[in-house]
Amino acid sequence: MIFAKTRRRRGAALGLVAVCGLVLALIIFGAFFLLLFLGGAKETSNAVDAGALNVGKRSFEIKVEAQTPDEHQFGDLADSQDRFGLTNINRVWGKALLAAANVTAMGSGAPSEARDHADKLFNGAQGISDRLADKLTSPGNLHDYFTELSQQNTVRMAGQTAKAEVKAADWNTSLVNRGIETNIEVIPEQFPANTFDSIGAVDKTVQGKPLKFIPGYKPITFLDHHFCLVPFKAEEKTHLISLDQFEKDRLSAKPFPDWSKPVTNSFSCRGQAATTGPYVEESISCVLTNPQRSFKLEMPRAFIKIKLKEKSTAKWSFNGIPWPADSSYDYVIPENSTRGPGEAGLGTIMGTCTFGLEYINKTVYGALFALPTENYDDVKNPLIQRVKEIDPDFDGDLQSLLSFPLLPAAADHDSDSDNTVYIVFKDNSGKLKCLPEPEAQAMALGGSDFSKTADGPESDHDESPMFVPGVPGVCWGTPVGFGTPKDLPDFMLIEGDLYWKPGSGYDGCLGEVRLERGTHAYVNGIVTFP
Amino acid sequence: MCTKREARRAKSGQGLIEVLVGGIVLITVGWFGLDLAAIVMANSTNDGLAKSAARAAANQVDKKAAGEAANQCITHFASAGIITKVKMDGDISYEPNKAVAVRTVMEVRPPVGFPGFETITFHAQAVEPIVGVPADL
Repeated sequence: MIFAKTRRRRGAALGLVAVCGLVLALIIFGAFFLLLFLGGAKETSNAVDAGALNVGKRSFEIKVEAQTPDEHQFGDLADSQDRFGLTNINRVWGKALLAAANVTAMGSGAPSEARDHADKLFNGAQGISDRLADKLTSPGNLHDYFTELSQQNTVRMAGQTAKAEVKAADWNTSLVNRGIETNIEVIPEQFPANTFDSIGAVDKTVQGKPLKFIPGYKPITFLDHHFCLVPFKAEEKTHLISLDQFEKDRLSAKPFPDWSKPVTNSFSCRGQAATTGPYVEESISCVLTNPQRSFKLEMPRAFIKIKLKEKSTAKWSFNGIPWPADSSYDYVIPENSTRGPGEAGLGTIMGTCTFGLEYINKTVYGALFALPTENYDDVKNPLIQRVKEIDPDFDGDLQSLLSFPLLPAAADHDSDSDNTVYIVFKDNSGKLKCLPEPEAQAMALGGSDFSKTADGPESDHDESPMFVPGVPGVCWGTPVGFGTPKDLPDFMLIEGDLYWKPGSGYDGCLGEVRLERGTHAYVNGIVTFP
Repeated sequence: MCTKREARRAKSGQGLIEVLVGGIVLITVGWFGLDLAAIVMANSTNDGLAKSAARAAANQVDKKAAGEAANQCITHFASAGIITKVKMDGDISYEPNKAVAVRTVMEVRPPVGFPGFETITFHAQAVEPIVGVPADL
């Protein structure tokens, strides 16, 4: 009996050890495979992150082209391939917005043509924007960008032959960072009067400089249209964002009724690492794009026309009686002319005057703003504002800009027979210039047509007459006759009209300045009884 | 027939031997498990380091800055006791305006060094898109 009991107790510990060893081994291998699974999940997440970042980076390569004539109005803002993508879509909307502001500033006197042009620019911008939005929200356009990078990252822990590939569900877009700055920089001086405040510009310091930007995903209303741009934070790169941030700004969670087809700035990308086993590792990453390029609001191919009547008009009066025939005089060469004889008591009087002396500064600027006694701010200010729409860096120095020497009438070779036309524009190198129309057309950025005209209402700056006393060499009368000739004070009155006609910017013309000026010579003298 | 004395002599010592043998087996299996866990975690750490270095490089504007950023990320890596060495494996692979690849190599001394496996070397590679360069015009 004792022997039997001893034999049963021998080896029991070894059996226990064996069982424990087996259990421990099972636990260890289980933990090993769990660690492999978790490691595979981490690798999949890393690969999907890389794929999503590449989607964000290369989304700028998704572009559209202008199709309609109104869309071709934005050709001056297209990229080097004449196309529009996320990088420059805000420039398109910015131009349409500026044109609408131009027409708004015209007030109730805006012609229907101007309003129609602003509508056409809005529709053109919307056409380009809508097609771009459609392309960006089609996940199929993005899948290749995803796999290009995701499959270069190993997911071996998920499976020896596993690769991170697209999982088609949950590829969405969102409108992140609503209300922050876009990549369009603005200055108040390039907007017409009383329109800048409607922009709601965002103040931002960039590289130490305080700047203003148009806000993004925030409607700006002009002429019953809502202009919306895409926000891109300054000095930020394309980067991943949390799913929470992405989801809360999706259209389904936060509608944006003012923009029927908003252009997105963020994408969610779902990927998976398919294995031969029963499980699949999946991950989702969200990316916020940023082109890292900002632009100044501008219409680089726009222009302003300056029309100077080919010759100024010379009128005469002798002792208050108007001479029936007018003559004319050049801007460049002062004209000395004699008229008469007019009635002068018992005799007659001849008048001799030199016309054109008001054109001391024989440049375009000197011709326009010739009278030193006149305040021309109501013409200069809108002119400066419009030039800043062409080039935001314009420093406001009109005298330097309009320093082209006046052409004598004989040298005018443009198509306008009544006026000599000068154009303010940007040349091929991007420099602001003022040149006669034929020369300007030869030097302009491609696509500019300087034959187009402004579409706004014309206003008249009526110059107050400038008194010029008559002295020998300037204006004097010579009474002759049988009796005693007596010369009376002679004088000239120089006056004119400066017309300003604003343009919306459709077809490029942002405005026209037109000058008509003349001199009236009053020659007085009498012949009395001897 | 076994006497009582013989039975007692058989009991004493036998249990000790069984415990010793069992202990050796269990401890060996346990050590093996510990090394496995350390290996898997070190591999994961190396992957994470390669990704961080690649991400740092991808945020730069050119190859030189990318290489410096990746190097800095690796040299500042705070390694644990079992990681004896970590460095970049060769130079970064830089495709301008496309992607950058960073390879890392990590040497690990397992907690329990089995003969022939005192040090294990891990290699990892991560590829990230270059986002530090502005979009083309």
